[in-house]
Amino acid sequence: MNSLTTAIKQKPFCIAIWVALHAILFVLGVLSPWNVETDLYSVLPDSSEFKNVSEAEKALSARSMRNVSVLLGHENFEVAKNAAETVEQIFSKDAGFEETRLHVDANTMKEMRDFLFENRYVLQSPSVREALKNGDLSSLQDASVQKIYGAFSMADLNNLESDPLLLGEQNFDYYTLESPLMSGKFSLHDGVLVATDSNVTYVMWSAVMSNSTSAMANDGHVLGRLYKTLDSLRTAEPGLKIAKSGVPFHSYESSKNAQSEIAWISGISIVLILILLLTVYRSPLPILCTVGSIGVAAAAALATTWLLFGSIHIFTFVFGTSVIGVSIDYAIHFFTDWKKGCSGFDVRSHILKGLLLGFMTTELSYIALTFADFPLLKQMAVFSIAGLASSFATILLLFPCLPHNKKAGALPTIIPQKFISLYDVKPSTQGANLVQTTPRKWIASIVKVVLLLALIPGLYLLNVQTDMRTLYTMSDELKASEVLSARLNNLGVSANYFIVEGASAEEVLRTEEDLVKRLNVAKQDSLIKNFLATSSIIPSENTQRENYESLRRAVLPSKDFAVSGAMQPYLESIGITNDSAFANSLKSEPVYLTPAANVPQSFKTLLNMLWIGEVNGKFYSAVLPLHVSKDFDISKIAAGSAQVHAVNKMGNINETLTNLSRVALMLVAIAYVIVFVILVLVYKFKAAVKIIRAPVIACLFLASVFGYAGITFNFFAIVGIILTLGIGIDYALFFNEGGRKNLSTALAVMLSATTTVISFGSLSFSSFTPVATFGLATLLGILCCFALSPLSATSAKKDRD
Amino acid sequence: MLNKFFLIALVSVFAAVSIAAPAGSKADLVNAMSAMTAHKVTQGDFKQIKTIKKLNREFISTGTFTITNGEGILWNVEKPFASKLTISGDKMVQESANGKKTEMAAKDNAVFAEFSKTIQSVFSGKVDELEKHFEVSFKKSGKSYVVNLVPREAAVRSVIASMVLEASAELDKVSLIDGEGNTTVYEFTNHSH
Repeated sequence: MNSLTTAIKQKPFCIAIWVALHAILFVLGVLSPWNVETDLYSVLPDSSEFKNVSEAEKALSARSMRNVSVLLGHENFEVAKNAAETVEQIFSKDAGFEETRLHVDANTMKEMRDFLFENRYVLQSPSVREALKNGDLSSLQDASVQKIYGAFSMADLNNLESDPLLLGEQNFDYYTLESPLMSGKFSLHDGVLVATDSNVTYVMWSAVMSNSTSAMANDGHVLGRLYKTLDSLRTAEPGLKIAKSGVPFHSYESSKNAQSEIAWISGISIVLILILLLTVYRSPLPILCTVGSIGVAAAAALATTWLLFGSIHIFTFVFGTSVIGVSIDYAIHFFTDWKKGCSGFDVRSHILKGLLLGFMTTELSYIALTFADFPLLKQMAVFSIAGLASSFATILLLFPCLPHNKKAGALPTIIPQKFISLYDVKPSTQGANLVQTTPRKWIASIVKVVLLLALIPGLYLLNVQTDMRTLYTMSDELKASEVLSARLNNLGVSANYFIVEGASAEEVLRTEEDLVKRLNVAKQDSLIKNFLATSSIIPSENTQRENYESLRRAVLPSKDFAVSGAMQPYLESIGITNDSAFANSLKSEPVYLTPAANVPQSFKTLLNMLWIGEVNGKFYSAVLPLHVSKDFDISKIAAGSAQVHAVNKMGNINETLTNLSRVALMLVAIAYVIVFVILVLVYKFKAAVKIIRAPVIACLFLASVFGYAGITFNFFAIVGIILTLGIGIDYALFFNEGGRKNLSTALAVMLSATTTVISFGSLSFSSFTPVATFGLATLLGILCCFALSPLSATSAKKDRD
Repeated sequence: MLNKFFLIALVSVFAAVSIAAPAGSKADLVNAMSAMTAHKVTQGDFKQIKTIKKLNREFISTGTFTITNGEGILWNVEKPFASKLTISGDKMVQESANGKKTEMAAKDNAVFAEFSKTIQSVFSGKVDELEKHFEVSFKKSGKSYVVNLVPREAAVRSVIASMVLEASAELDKVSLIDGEGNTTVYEFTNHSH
């Protein structure tokens, strides 16, 4: 034991241990894959059923999230079209886009007609399918004669002999005129798609981003170049209206704004902190060591997280800022004592108890979080545990090895002194003033009780929930563009949709067909206006076979392949005397289509949106309800089929983050109970209460301010709470250890609080709601904690100086 | 977005080729069209002759028509199979002999809205509207005139090469020629107002 005590006071031993610990961690971390996770589904608990379709949803999002469209509008169509042609000319060969589209291919119609004719026996509209199933040839014949003899019919009659029921033409009507995609205001004009709104004619230009194009803004980003082109077009033609729509625009604008904002905020806060530390320490060494310790702690946290989880979620980075907050505090406490001229090992001995308790209490809070059923929360906790442990090891093992500070000097203690004096509400409790101090004590107690009671209405008003929609505010221009685009497209795609899963493509299509039946009922009940489904384009092989066989049974009922008697009068009436072409086309079994079949471009792009295909050995598709009413219950429609998943991505994420917040708070509360028990064992009950009340009241205070201000107490505010509890308790502990009148303790705590307030508080000025909420919560919590921490000093230590 | 792009284009083509329209020197054309469509209600008989080259066949149907300026058009096919087509500003209704109706609302379908607007512009003499969709040329011979309409859209031209409208005091004949040489001719007789 004695040899160990001696060893930890020897520099080589301490350095070796520190290096060994970190080297092992970094090597293991470097060997692990460096993945950064941004998928919101990964915040869901393992038990969530949506977790199962997460990969399929990700594949679906990856496609739809690459689509962009730009509407170029002008009162003069030619001006709008010329602008669109300029955009097409510049970007059609740009590697940033996988595909661009402006002009309509003149062969589109023929291609579609030919395809629907070729596949007339397997692809049929629901009404034709129903008629064939019922053997009702007369209604098909009626529909056909209308196309042949009716007014203004543009049916193609070239194939009448092989398709006397004009099934190909009926298909064409169903798949084009009756398509839900036709509800928009766009029509073909001069080879491009146009729509008119408020006397402005808009021309649609659309594109798909390349897989290799980053969603985040960077120099030379294709969207940056597109913005420049659009700006110059607008400058050249002032009346030109431009509306941009699509997720990539939002990602680009957000990340561009974020980059400049983060640079400003972090730049200013770093400069302020450096000035502060330089003013206090008058030496670069403490600053370099502090920055170094933070860097090592962050690297250790990353390595551990990658090692244990294989990836790190973007949210963990946000939460992980607590590592910086606590690391800097530990270093400040060390260097404030070191500055007085003590040796590193003496400083360590001096601050060890407070540091150890602070470390243990903070770690306990994080360990508690690892018990949650949320992988993300576990990850955040592990990140913080590792980061803090590294920081603690640096203070304990490396910093004591620093050279003895020979330029020991007085620390600037005027401000701490003034700060401490604010808490001397009673001059003295000795002798004759005892009678006078009793009413003061009472007044102080009453004020404290009133202030505490004032927190209650705020807490009552608190709205604990996370709604991701409120966390993103799009620019007015982009918002107006999206509104215009939605109005002109009028597709009505909902945020809620279905993902259908199956062991094979056929199984998915069959399950979809069952779902489509339920959706048709919902359509009849006006709960939805329409829907988009793969099986509405390419039915299951089972349905295609049924379609063919129903037709064959109705038209060629006998074994000799003679055309049914029920067809003969009709064929004669339309002048077909030789039915062999018709009979022959039906004799042999047709080719059944799959979603992977070669289909016309218009179907291909639609299937690309709906058919997810094979993901991890299973097959998936998306079914999108359109123009959903508020009474449409997506879960109810999905219920009863384990292979149909109602996806309300935003709702699921919101609910999960709200639960995550509650669970995190509960676990931290439990951890605090354990911390309290430890503090009681170390300091006795009364002192323990004094220590713990500062962070607890600070959290109640910040929550109450959120309640009074009507700010939603979301996941990011709760991260602020956890941070306050983790960091704030250290202030109280150090005051308790050092005594209220110990100016170096007051200075250290003041520096810690100020650096935390600068770095986290500056985030509250962010225009990004999550960052601002997190910053504001931490700012309020830390400020309150700091203000209360001098009251944590026990009577015995209050007068120690 | 692209899928919508394709389908809209596709159906726009379909709508445009479904439009027959009369239209020369613009002033003469406007005058002629105005005279032809000056009546509140125009009724008469029509004969539709579809000639399919590949089949070497003609499909002939006859019936009556009623054009009510500003309200709509009714095509009543009587022979060989009865059917009705009503086109108004907000919808199109097709009715077969057995009474089965198929309705399409303009508010739900931009292409139909376009179709309805254009076809009505033909019969209400709105030359400017016609010129949006067709290259219009006009020949006058005495009291008669011939209007030649060539679709502006290449995609439409691939389906219908041109339309010819022949008129005197009344609209007498409309001929549609498709890309494969097939024709659909509408002959109008017995006009009354």
